[in-house]
Amino acid sequence: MLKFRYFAPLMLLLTLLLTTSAGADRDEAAEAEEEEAAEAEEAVMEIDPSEVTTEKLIEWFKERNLVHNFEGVECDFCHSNPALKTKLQSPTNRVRDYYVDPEEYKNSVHFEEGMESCADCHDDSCMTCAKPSHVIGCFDCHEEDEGEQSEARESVAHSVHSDFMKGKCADCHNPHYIKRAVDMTLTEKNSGCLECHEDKSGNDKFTLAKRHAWHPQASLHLSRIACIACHTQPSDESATAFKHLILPSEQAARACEECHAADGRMMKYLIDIGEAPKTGLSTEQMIEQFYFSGGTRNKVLDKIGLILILLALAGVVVHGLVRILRRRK
Amino acid sequence: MSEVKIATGIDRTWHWIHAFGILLLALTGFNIHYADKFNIFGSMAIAVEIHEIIGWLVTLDFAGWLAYNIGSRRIRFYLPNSEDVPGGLFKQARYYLYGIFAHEPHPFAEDGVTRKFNPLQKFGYLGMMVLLVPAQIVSGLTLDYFVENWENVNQATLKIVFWGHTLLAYCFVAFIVGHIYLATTGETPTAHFKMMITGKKQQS
Repeated sequence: MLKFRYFAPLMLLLTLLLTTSAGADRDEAAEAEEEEAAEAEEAVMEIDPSEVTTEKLIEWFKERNLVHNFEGVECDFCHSNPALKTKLQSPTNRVRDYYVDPEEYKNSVHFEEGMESCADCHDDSCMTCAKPSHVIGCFDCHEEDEGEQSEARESVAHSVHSDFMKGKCADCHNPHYIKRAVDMTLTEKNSGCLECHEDKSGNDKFTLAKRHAWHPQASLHLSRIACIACHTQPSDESATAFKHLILPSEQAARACEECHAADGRMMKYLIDIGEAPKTGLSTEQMIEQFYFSGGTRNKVLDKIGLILILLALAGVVVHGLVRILRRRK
Repeated sequence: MSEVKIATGIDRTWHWIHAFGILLLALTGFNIHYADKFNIFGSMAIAVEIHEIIGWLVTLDFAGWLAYNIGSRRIRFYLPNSEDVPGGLFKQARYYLYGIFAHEPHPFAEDGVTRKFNPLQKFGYLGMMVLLVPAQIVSGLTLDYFVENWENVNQATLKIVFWGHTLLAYCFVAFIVGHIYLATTGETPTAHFKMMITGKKQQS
């Protein structure tokens, strides 16, 4: 028979036992989940990169009963998973690039404009259906007939790239990383071109340097100026329009004075010079940022200089005339 | 009428290399600066090439001038003495502004032994050779370095050096205008030109 004085400590002991075992259950569950995720991450390294399709990945996860058949799984589990990066990422980081770096995405204009989660652009349907509609086109959101994107598409259709790209924006611009032109670094601006136009075979004959060897300062210009500054022609149309109208190489700028002039074409490409993007500056302010011969002349300095020379000329003319007038016959 | 030796062979050689050098530098320099409006050399690239080569020539020529004048002690002709400063400056200025029209004689005639230059010439040429020309050489060599090593260029510094180089260039052109004109103020308008070719001055 239990005496009353043992009741309290017994109840205490019982309570303790019950709560710790419940806690242990909870911990166990969490631990199990974590383990699964870790296993999944490790396991994906086994996948042959050539076999990666959405269907195959889902099959593979299902077979191993990983992550509960995708219920509650977010897009980023695969598409921003560093373990899957090499499997999903195309070598050129362009179209057919199924890996999205979440930090880099945050710098893009799409994120800035409020598309903060995958579902803001992509169809949020159940992953097990593996619908191909996860990919969307630029004009599913952007205006077909007006605005910068349609201007750009129009220009590309008339450019030297018209046959090759058939106006597909993503052939040059990765939609997950695209920025406004004023926010792009030089490297970002040129990346669209260099993906195809920089020779990767190691064959010296076709490198950028070789093809621009006619220029006396090729490496300086190649490193400091965006391709479009020479390979497009400024016009009265918008910057987006003429900067997408890439011309055949015979029509690229060649004469030095096209740019090295006070009102030369460089004034239309000021945001395309130099590595750091220059946001929100006026033309005059941008000129303050750098120097290039003949293009960024200091007009005040030139005026002072020319006045100096004119004063000297005036002085000698007057002096000489007086001497002539006063000469002894 | 007797002859007096004023300019040695080395004086004259140095002078004409320097003169045509500066002239070419000015012309190519302004082609580069005004590539759209002053394209007398056909292309900016050619102007830059010539500008660089002649720039080095003038640099070496300057070094030659310095070595020769110090080594031979002829540098003394450039150095103002108590006669020159301050009284001599005013005398010479008065001559150029008045005396020359009144057919007064030159207050400080050169004799090739004690004097080669009048007081104002001393200041002008010394200023040129000790201040302006070295400054322009330094700025030019700096720009040459910048262009060859543009990865390390600091744009802010580059700007200042370019401005200095351009301003000095304008000063040199103004100097040339005055210099050529003042060369006509000898005994006859061509006396000094002949002297810089033959080395000798006719003394009456």
